[in-house]
Amino acid sequence: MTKPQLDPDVADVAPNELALTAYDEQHVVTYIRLLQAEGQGADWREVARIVLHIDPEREPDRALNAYQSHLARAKWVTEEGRLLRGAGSK
Amino acid sequence: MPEFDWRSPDSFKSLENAEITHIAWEGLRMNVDYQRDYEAMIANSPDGEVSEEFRRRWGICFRP
Repeated sequence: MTKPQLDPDVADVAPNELALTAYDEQHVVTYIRLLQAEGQGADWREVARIVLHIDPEREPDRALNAYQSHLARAKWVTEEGRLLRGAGSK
Repeated sequence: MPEFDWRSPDSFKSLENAEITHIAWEGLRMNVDYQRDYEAMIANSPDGEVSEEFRRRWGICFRP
């Protein structure tokens, strides 16, 4: 398991592979923060700025894409115990 | 139980060196879809037992 980073920069779009990637492992705290923010009803623009480090005023499309794809990936990795089984496994 | 705050990366420091099982659980517990599913499952389960489908969907297993 790659060590998770607390506040890493993110790619424009989250991974879409059917297996857990090194990117997922590094960004697992980012995923948890996104899930918690959604649960608390936070404004996605504030989440994009604070968690994803993308300014939604300057780059609205990039910010929204990154937010939506990372939140979807966060949900995917937490389903079916995927995170528990680690990278490389199906 | 650590109190996480999504605005503050430092509040997640305990996860930096945590076991993956712990991290996985924190991720699951923050997932609103899981929370809704859990509430619905408990409401429909008179004995509080977790259904097989629920276990499969969320990958939870309970040790005897």
